[in-house]
Amino acid sequence: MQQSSDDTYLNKGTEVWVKDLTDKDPVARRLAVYALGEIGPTARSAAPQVRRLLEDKESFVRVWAANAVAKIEPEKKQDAIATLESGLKDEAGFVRSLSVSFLGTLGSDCIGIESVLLALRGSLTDSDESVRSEATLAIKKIQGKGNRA
Amino acid sequence: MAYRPIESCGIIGDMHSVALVGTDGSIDWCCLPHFDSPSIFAAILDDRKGGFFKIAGMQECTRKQMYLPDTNVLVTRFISPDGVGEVVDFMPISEQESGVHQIVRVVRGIRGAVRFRLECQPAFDFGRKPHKVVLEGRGAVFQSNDIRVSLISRIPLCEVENGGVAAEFVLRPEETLTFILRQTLKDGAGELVEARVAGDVLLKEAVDFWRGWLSQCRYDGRWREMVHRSALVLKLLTFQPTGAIVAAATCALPEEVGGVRNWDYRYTWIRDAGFTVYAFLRLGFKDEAKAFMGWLEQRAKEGARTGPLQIMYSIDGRHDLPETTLDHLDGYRGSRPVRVGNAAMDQLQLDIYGELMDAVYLYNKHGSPISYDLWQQLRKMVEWVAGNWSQKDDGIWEVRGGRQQFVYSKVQCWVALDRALRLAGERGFPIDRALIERERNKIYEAVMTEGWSADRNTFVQYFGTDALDASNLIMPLVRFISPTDPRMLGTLDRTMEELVSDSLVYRYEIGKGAGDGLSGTEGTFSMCTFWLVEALTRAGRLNDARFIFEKMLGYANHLGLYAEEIGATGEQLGNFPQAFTHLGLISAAFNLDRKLGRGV
Repeated sequence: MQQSSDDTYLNKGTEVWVKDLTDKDPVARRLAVYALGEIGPTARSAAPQVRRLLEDKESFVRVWAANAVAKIEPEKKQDAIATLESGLKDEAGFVRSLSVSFLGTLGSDCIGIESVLLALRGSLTDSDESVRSEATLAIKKIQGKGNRA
Repeated sequence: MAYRPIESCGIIGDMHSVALVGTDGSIDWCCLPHFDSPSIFAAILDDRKGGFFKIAGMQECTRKQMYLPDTNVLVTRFISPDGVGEVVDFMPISEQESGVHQIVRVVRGIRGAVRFRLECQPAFDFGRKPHKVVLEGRGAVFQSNDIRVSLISRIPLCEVENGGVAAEFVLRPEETLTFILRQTLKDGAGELVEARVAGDVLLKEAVDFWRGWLSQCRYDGRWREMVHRSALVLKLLTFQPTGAIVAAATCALPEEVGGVRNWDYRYTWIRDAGFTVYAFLRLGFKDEAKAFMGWLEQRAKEGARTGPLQIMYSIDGRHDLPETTLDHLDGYRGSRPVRVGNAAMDQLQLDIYGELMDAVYLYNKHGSPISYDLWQQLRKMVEWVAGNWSQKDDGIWEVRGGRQQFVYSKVQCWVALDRALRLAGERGFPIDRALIERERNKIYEAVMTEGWSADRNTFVQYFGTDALDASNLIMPLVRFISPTDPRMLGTLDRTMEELVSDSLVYRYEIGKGAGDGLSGTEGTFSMCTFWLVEALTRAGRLNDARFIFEKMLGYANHLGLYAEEIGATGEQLGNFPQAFTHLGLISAAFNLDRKLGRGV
């Protein structure tokens, strides 16, 4: 149930969304990586193109790409950590908030996740209220105290 | 999509407008910025072209709805073996006219993992105005010619067909996503708020507001939750900037599925508002009554073509409500035409002065003393009634088949004069007592002679007919006649024989008496059922009254909400939710509870 029920997202398959990964509009690229992440491991063929967006010029696309990498290749979800950790320092509050949230989603079983706990604790005093509230939840999840399904 | 039963909805609102939220998580009705504005979501009137905003669990599941206790914050729950999720819907309340109207939808994971699908497909001006969609970093903007609505979303939205957007997402326990649909009247500045934080703050404020408001309620009798829910509905139907009270939240929901009685109730009827003020005061809410009195004073100063007052106005006091039909819409389950505006505006309905004066009298007694300036307006109005009560009028049911000497109208004219005399006496206000008393007495005798059928032992619908009308049940409620007067007992018995079916009351017999000029049928009229409860209560038939009252409670929807009527299979019919029914419930509960005393 975690993935879209018929290996599509909004009734479009992987091949359709992959095309949008190179769209000039960052909002479209963000949607494409999100869609592929929601499709999950079935979209594995798109993983290389998604990983390329870890270097996107827009920070909000990068963090959404990191989130997608963790969903498409859950066995390699630790590969998302670096991008998300750097997102914690982004000047835009909503990017920091997303980064914190996505780190929490990686969960306590993610290899190397403990390395971000210190940075996440720093987010508890972030100037942005959204970052602070997401940090509380993320730390609980990473420490294995979140009520995972 | 398909049409749901009318009653399968809850209501949220901000006292400028409302939204109906179905048990499937779909907002199928919302007009912005105000109750009587053109719609942005109207799937209840056309499931293909009307527009909707749905957030729902995607898996097979059981759906439940509830309000957070003592609030108008609605929770729609999706329950399956794999997980439980919920959508918390509300419209933030703003004490000042901020120009911003919002629907906040907080989606929560509760147990397991739940995949949700969001689809937002506005259709501006009942689907008549096209719009374009602009996807932005924090959501989407729907831009029509003269209205701009934003959907703020943390997750990416995808443009889909028919000018809509969609998204899917999974939530697990403690995870939330907040979506804010926001209409701005100004330049749209500051739209890109962080939805989650703003939503949390707004949710707390909304809960605090509603609980604070309801805490003023003094009712502590039986059926308290139903009474409280009715009060909360009436408050939602109040237009905060002016104090006007709309008759219902919707337009064109049919009195018969597939039929033609599809009226627009998003206006302020003097009658309905008068009754509502009465209900508010009964429960201890004075501010609403005060605000309405201010609105009324303005209308009284303005005058009208048919008398001192029109029967209805727009919520901002406009006199013209031109009726048109929206022929491009299918109507609820094919119930056409879809009407907006209301041509009954210019009808002469003499009863409005009675309901109004009764509310004023009660307000003066239990609210605050009315001003001399208001009395001057009321005095002119009452003197007009004294000189015009003998006219034929269109009656309480707004029949469009020609004017008659309706008994109900005469009784309410008697109420208007009676309350004016009492009020003047208690406050020492100037009044032409001899004139008013003389006309009051004439009305009484006219009703007792021409409005009475000795053959049938009942009051009748209008002078010269032998047809019945359930509105006559109000006679003892307004103290026109003793509840145990043989004439009233006769009327009660005859009404129960001829207009009551399985405890539910038809307002009149279609095809007999004054016609409404339309074909088809209609359901039983819920307010009349509550009037029957009250008439029985006052007649001392408490067991009958209680049984019918509690039976009627069973016809409420899952949230305690009522439309105008109930159909042959127990379905709700007509505009929804309707003030008339809820104020009838409040009054019946209040009086029945008092008569039953403190026992079981």
